[in-house]
Amino acid sequence: MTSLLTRPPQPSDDWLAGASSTRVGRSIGPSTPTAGWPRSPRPSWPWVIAAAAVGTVVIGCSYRLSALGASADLYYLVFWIGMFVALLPAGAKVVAGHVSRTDQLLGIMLFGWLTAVPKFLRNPTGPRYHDEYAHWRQAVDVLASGQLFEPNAVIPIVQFFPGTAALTVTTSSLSGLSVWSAGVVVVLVAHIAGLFAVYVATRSLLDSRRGGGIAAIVYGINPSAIYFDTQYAYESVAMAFFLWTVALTALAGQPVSPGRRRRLLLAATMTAAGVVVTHHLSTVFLIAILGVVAATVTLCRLVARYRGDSEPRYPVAVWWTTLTATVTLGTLWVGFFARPTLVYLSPYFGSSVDQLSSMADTDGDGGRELMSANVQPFAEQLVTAAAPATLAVLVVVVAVLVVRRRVRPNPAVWGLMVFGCAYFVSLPFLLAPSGAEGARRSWGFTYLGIAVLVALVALHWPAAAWRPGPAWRKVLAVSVFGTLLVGNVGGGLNDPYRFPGPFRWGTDTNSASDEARAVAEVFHARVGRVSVVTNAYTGLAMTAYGGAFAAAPSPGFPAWLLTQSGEDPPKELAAMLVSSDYDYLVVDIRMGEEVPFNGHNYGQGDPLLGQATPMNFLTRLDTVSWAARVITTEHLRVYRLDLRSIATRPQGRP
Amino acid sequence: MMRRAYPELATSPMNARFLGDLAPLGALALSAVLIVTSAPTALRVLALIPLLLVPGAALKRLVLGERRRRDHDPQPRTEDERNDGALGLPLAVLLGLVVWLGAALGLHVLRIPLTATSLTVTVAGTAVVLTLVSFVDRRRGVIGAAQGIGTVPDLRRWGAVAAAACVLAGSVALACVIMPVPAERFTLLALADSKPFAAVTNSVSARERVRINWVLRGYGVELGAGLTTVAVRIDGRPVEQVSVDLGPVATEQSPEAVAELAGAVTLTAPATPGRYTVELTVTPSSPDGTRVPPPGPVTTNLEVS
Repeated sequence: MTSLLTRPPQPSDDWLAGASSTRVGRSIGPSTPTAGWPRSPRPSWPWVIAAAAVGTVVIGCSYRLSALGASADLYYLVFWIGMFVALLPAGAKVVAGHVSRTDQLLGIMLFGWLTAVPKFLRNPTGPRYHDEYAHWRQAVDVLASGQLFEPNAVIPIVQFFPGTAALTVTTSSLSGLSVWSAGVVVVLVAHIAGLFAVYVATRSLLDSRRGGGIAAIVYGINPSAIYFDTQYAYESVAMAFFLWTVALTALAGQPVSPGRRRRLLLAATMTAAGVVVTHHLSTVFLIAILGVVAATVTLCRLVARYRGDSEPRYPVAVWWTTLTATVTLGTLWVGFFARPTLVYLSPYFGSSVDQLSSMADTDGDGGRELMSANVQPFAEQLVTAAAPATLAVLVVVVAVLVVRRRVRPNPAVWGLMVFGCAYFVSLPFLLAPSGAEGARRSWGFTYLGIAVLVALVALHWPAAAWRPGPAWRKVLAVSVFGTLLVGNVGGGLNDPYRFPGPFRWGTDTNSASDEARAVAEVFHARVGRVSVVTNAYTGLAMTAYGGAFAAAPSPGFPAWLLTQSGEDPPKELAAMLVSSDYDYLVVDIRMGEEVPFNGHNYGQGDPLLGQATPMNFLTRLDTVSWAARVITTEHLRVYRLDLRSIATRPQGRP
Repeated sequence: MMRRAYPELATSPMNARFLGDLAPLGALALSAVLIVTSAPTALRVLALIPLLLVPGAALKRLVLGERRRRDHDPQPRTEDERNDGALGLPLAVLLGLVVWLGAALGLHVLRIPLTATSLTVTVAGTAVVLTLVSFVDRRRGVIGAAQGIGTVPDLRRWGAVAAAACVLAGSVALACVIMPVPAERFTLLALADSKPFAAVTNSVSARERVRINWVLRGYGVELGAGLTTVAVRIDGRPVEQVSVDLGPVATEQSPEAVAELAGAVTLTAPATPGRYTVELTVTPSSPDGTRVPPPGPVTTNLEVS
């Protein structure tokens, strides 16, 4: 079979591409964009599968080392050896020069599986990430009640986006799998399906199977892919719908019959609906990407019309159609079913912009230090910094290609790349305390544009005069792949999220214990679902396994004063706790033994930020008249509160 | 992937396609029966596949169909066009998930509880409707002929894929096995009476006998009733005359193998009226005398009138 990449340029015989795509991937210069790529030897499937299996086991070895407390340099090294052994052959299978379509598709499926393995091995038997507790509990409650929209104590907004719970409960009910196993299956299927969406979209837009494969590989190693978007949470599920909405709209923009275009847009609308009912942020980013592409396509058409070029109309209409449908669905959903979403999302952007502004005005105090308090090996930190720089170089290469007119991307490709450049805009927000999370969350979406950009560069490498030889090209490709892989993962989640380890107080993941779970379950069996005051880490177990409703302390509701102060709670706080039925306090005395890894025990408002709670603040609870210890283990203590006497105390009396 | 048609079906393309449409509906019906009758989990997991792919594939056919022979597109149909695996299977899976989402939301709107039966009936019913609509559309020529599935796939290819899947799954299982699972050993002590949990003070008369019930649970440890000691303090002062009742140690037949020891202490209330804090400490021990992590004391209040 003649590779699409080595035959002379001609109108595409791929029915998905048409007249518009002749602009894409078609060089105007003397050499073709596809000439010169070496006939890469295909890795055979037995070797690819063997490498994948060995790499998987090596990753497991790295987790074993970290769990046993080995040196971070060692287990990071072992981890990356496993990742490269597993991913390089599979990636080569996808982008190799003469691979058949079936092999390429199977390679994408394998790549998707392998990029989900690290997260699965991190905690295969139950939730461990903060969001996983929330969604697992949500699915458990929906399964028990048979109704969606159950209240969620960990992340309240989850109640209003029932897509993940609906799919999990359906899978669990139909198959008999546990809620956790069903959730893992749903996330895995969504993850792999998402990579195919990237492949389909890029293949049609760049008129190249190889380009589609490159984009799928690059997207598969985006900063959110390997841990964050493979956790059991709503973004992981919504991402597949997000990507397919973009892919189907891109297909609708190709020269197809009007009936087929309408059907593709109908399918895009259906997947957009899947985004809307599953995740709020994915809906926002879907609207953003569709808006950017629609605006770009419209602008390009206006410019073309001004110049007198004739452009088919459909690329403009399809993007505006899907955008309008998504905005309509999103508005209706938020308006009728999910009003709290507006309140939930609004603080983040504004406060992070304000923080960046204040940092710029002052000397920068109050910001975050990148990679502070980090056990990451220095080499990985270097590569983490190099990943955005590498992408910046590729952006420059695209600019050079366009200026030299070696490639004229079609408007939709332009739009996706413009959207992808938002990745660079997000980088400064890593320095703002409340912006860092938002910046990281954006990468899973903006990286679609980055993937298209990288594929474009790979397909249209500059002129033969300074093109490296075949061997050096392979070295360059592997280097870029390795830089992005290591840098993206390194810039994503922190060490306790990525690696199991000995108990470490103050982390969402490594502060979890069977002891806390047992207390939560006994507590629930004894009193049912009640409200409790507890620290952020014990709260995860209490809410997930005990069904409790944990207080969300704030300056206006300083419930933390029960443990973060050596005095009795003030009358006002006692009154709030009594009136809101917060009758229990759960303490883990390890709060007093270690400084919390995350720097706080009760969120960023904790009055003892960066400090361990003085042990006498905790031990005095056994002597006060308003608390009685009713359940106890070596480390955890459940106190029944009776604050009525303080709440009703006359003013002025101590 | 090579496909060979069943020779006996080759007499009529429409018959082949009709039987090709029946096969997935048959698989769907079988899956529904397996789920509704609570078949073993392994079978039900396999039953998920038709319940996902049949409605998804039908919806995909309605959305994409196949190219009509009378299309105006001048491009000839290529192998890519007839057999786009990148678009077909993943899109069928995703649209199948959309059907599942719609089914769950629809049941919620109709106030029908989400159960295995209600979900199976809804998903299967939707799949049947979608399949019939796609069949009608095909008959009307709205969408072109779909490839029937009454063909025999290349068994070697599928066998190789299955073998690869087993190898990959085995490697994941091995990786899970080599990761250490921390074995926590701890005990949990809880008051068994309801008054402490209701913040209701136990009101007694002076020198009245008071009984306090408790439960001790051992996780990853064995409990020995004979070597377990109990101590009581009232307002920090030890109470000497206490009678202790200990039940037998019961062990739950579960992976956690939780041992449970129920007990009670009976003491005499103080003679002086007032409010007192009673502290109960149970020091567990294993049958062979090895140290067991102590849980610490529990407290309750006593109002002596």
